[in-house]
Amino acid sequence: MLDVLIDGLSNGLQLSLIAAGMTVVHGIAGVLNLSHGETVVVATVTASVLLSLGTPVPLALLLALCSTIPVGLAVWAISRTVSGFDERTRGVLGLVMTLGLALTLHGSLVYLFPTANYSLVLGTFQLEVWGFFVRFSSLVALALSVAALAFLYFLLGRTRFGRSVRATFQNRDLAEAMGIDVERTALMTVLLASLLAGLSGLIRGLTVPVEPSRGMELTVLSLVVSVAGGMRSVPGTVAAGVVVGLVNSLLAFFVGTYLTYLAVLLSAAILLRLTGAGRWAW
Amino acid sequence: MRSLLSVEGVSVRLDGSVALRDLNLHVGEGEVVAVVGPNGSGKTTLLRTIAGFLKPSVGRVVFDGADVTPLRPSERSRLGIRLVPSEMEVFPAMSLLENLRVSWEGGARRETFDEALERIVQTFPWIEGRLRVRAGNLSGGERRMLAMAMALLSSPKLLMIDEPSSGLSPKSLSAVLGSISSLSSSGLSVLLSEQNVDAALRVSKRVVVLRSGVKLAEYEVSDRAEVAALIRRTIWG
Repeated sequence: MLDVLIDGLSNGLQLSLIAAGMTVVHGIAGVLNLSHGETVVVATVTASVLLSLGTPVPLALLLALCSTIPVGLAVWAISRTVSGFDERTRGVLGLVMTLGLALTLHGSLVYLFPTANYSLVLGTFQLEVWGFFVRFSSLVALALSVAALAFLYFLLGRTRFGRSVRATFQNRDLAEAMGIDVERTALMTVLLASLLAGLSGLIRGLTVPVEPSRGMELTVLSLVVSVAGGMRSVPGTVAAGVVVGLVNSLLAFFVGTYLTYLAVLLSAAILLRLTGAGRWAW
Repeated sequence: MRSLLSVEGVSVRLDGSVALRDLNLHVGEGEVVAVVGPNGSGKTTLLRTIAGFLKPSVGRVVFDGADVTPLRPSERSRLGIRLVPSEMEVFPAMSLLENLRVSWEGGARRETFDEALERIVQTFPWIEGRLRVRAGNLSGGERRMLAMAMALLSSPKLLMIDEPSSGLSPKSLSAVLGSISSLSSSGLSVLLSEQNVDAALRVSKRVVVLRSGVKLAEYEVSDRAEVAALIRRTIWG
């Protein structure tokens, strides 16, 4: 039972990492990135291929993270392309173009690397915590997820770059009037979001294998989390990710996977109703 | 008086129609100039063009001897042109301290943040006790003054304030105008856009009258009542 809770929490925090990236990119670059889940898979497929070629684990993981940068650059190029249009047109064009990028990545990855399932085995031993047995890899995944979110919190909350991101997120024109280079901030944010998505995928591989075909599912889940968190709030997104991750894992364990997505959507709708969009703006 | 800002033959088109037509304007060092005119006369367009948010179709903007027309707003801001917009002038989800720090980080940073903050607190003492308060929780007048404090923290050479009297109670308006007066006496150049002619005349030395994007007249403010009557005659005929 504790194992399920820890996996659910870890799963939720990983979803939060992916969705936080989607939220900030939407807020700053003005594009709802439907290729975000594929970015996760680009990292896991790269790691899987490099590990199968005998690359040392740290180098393989580092290169896998770097492999998300070209995807981030493509998303940034899309945001630049649509930036000259009015808000509504920009939204629709951004959706269509990132969906096109997602389908291209999905098709390429599944066709070229159909068996590149990524998992990072840290041994099968278990630890006893409060009388329950917990997989060591689950605890490592949880600790890494917490550390990654703490880093994100520090970066956005305590650094000059973070203040520039939040200022641009809240009021782009005012941020620019205050001397912030909003274009550079947008580029750095899109790259940060890609790296976070890749990192989340690599952490995820500690507990479950990540298949090349999982990208769209991850996009949908992170979209649900981002919307439930208020679309314009990183803390809201993190909280929604934890709830959705826990609901997902607990239901999959107790009821079965056939009901989980319905429950995930229901919990997201309740969260949205409770929190209100943007209440936790940061 | 040395000219700090020159707007030279600027025309701006917005959505296919002319918002500013062949406009010339200059602001000297340490001078307070007000641009007055009715709604839709092009006051905000002028300030946004000088700040770099709008590009002139014809003409140029010269600041401190350099042509800044091709520069982006953030680049102009770092040169010392600061705009206080009429709405959404602060970052509401950030504390006052964070708002001030963001502004300082985007400026020239000729002094440390603590030194700049100390200087600002002398002009706006109420800020000191409320540094941890979210800017979104301030009243309209407080937000306006915070926006001015943010702009001043970066030690600008030219402060542009769009509609300083907009939405303010008489008490808040007096406080804001008092702050502008004290700024001008410290040698800062100020360009205001204002619908409220009386408020504009209380702080400015020169007034430019706009209507439908065209400069109709320019007056030195010597006798306030006389200039106010002249402005009203110029605008309304």
